[in-house]
Amino acid sequence: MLTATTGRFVLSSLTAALLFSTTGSVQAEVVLNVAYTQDLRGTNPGVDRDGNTDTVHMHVVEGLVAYAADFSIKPMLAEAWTVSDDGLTYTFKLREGVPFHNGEIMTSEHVKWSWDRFMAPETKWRCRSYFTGEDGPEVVSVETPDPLTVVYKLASRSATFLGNLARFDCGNTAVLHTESVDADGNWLEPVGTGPFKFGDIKYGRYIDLLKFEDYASRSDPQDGYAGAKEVLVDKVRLQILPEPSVSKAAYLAGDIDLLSIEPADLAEMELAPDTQILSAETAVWDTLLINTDDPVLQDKRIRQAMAQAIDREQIMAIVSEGRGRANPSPLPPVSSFFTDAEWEQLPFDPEKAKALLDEAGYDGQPIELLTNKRSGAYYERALIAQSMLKEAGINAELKVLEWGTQLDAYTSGEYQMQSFSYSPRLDPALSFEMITGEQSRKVWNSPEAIALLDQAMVVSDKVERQGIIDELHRRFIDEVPAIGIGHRVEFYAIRDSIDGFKPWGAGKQIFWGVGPK
Amino acid sequence: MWSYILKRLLTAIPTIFLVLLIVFTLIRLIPGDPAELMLYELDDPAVVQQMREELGLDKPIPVQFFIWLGNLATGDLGVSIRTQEPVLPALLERFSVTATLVFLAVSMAVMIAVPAGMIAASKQNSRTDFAIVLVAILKLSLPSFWVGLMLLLFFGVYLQWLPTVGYVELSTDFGLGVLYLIMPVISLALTEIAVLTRMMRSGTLEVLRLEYVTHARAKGLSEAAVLSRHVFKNAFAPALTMLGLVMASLLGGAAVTETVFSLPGIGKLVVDSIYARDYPMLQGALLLIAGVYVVVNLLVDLLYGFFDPRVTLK
Repeated sequence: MLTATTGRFVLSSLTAALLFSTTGSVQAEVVLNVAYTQDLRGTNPGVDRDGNTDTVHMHVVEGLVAYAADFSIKPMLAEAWTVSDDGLTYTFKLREGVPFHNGEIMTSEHVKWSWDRFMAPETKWRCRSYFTGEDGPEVVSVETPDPLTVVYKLASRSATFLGNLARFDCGNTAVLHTESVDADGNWLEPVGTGPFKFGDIKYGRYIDLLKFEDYASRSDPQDGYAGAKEVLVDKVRLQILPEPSVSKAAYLAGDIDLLSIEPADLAEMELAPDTQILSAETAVWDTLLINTDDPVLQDKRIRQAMAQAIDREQIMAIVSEGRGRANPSPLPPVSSFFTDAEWEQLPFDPEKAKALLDEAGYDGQPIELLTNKRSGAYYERALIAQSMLKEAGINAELKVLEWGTQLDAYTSGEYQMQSFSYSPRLDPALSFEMITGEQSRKVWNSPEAIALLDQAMVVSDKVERQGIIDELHRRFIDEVPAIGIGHRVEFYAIRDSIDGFKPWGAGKQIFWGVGPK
Repeated sequence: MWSYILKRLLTAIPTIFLVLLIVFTLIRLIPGDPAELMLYELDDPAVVQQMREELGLDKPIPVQFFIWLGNLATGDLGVSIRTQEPVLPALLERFSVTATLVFLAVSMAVMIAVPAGMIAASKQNSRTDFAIVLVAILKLSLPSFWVGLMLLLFFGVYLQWLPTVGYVELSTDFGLGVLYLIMPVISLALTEIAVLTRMMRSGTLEVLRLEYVTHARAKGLSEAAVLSRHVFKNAFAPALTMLGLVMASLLGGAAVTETVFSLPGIGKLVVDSIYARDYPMLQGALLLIAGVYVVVNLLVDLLYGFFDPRVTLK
């Protein structure tokens, strides 16, 4: 038998734990071995980050509030909160007796210290602008009237304040202990309240998350990043395996217990012994962006013709092996704001598309569609779309770039069309914000859309906000700054012997509640 | 000899400087901004600009180059943009993995290919010769990633004899470390065995035709004695040149093997750094690789003297 550093021991230890627990004798270390595609960017939440790093950080730190599975906001370190009638004062009551990883108990002073650190420009928190009045309401003060109360005062009303506090890319605005930094304020490591602590981090090899034995779990049921967080393993080892064929082989060999799989591998993995395949429709939006300032594509009729030339159902069926559903909106179907209105779309109608092209006087000018070959079916979507566009008489040309080069084009806005994907936005306004605005990277710059978006950012009344979101969707369909293909389905292969893993729409893996059956 | 070594090392400095200048400039001319790659599509331009300033990317390329050179002089290679780890320790750690892998693979290749090539040559046009040449051509025709994946599937997935992921340093646990290295070493060695065998066979054939070999045989020496005492050294010299180039090239990165076996070596690090536009790591890695080329080629030149007494080092 290999040692604890290998996957083989890890897997056998899952079984071993079951065997030994009944006898009350030796208890082997239980380790969940997970295939992970990327190294950690760093340990500083909301600062050293990318999507995968955020997932790891969210196991180590917690904030006052958190996203639930349905993308609503629920309390986490806060017991509850109240909002004043004018919408400008948020009062959080903290939970009592919540320990940090160093054993000290969390108080409002820690919340204030963490907030002040995040807001200091030298911290380089990526979400600072959401709370300074630049991209969100200004937080004018944070007060701590007693050890279990924190009061945030805002300069203006906001519908996104709590959501921004809970964002993964903001590190959940984590409440940290002062020992997270040295005497000069330099970052050391996160001393948080999360259910895991960092263990070994070996770049290019693995990241270890260790169970925090004294974790104070909430009593309400597990619900996304909210609710109870019961850790059922001693350690989660994230094995850095960027190559899908290698991670698949490692899974089949028994060295990995859980891995994310591409739709193309579904049929094979379904036949793997002792394996369950789990899936979830996420908020990752797969789309074809259109540069509305391009001389040819600025004509709305040509963009509408494109939308009607593309059969998104067929594209989605192919790229998801028939498991996903197409939808036209930037808003994910898992959002509580996604209603019948968000299904409204220009139907697939190549004849109508041809008529619109004639009406617009399109005479076969080439339209370049950028794509790349990274995972996520960017290339496949573009290839199928190109064929459909050609069928309708649109001279679409495919240009395959390396991802960094395509991203350059995206940021500068110097392209005609591109196959693109957006990471999950859990607030409905943010689903439109990612494409709406005057920056060169945003494709929808109509003043009416921007004005509607501004409203969606501040109106918190659910009914009123729903009306604004529906109107944004209607305009989006009419103006066609992008052609939504659908929201990506993520698939996981996991051993039958493991229980409790629940993929969810935020596209984040959660390792609490996961353990041997 | 020492003056020769010093002279070679001194002449390497302008070469390395030139390589670095070209690399430094070229990687910055590739489209793609490290700040944008790090921040992806979430951030506003102000944040991206702030990130560029922090990374020093807002300065002209010549200024960036001289800042980097200045830091290099103090032993500071910077911090990785991608992972925030200091570049120098990361490079040394990754290089030790690659060096272990390459040293073992090349040693294995030499131990198999040298006798195989000599036997094939000494039995030219026999069944043994055909068999050795056939196997060598076959091995040469198989891409190393395919061989790697097949090994992984056979020994890892089906037989489950060897671990498919992970790496343990030999210094930490020798036995376990060997288990992790068996498949990558075989995968890497197979191609080199094929190349070396062919090289050794042709070198031996040439030497076998020389008069002094005929003379040795006429003295009544056994064929084994002729090959080991009189043929080996002269036949090995050309293979040594190739061995040096192969060794330097592999030490610079056996990226495919490292990727297939998820080994944290320098080749994989270079590939990851290119995709992430991790300039500090890439620059450091290329500096190291350029240095490795210089040292390995110097060692090869020094070894010539051992294998061929006609070679003198001045």
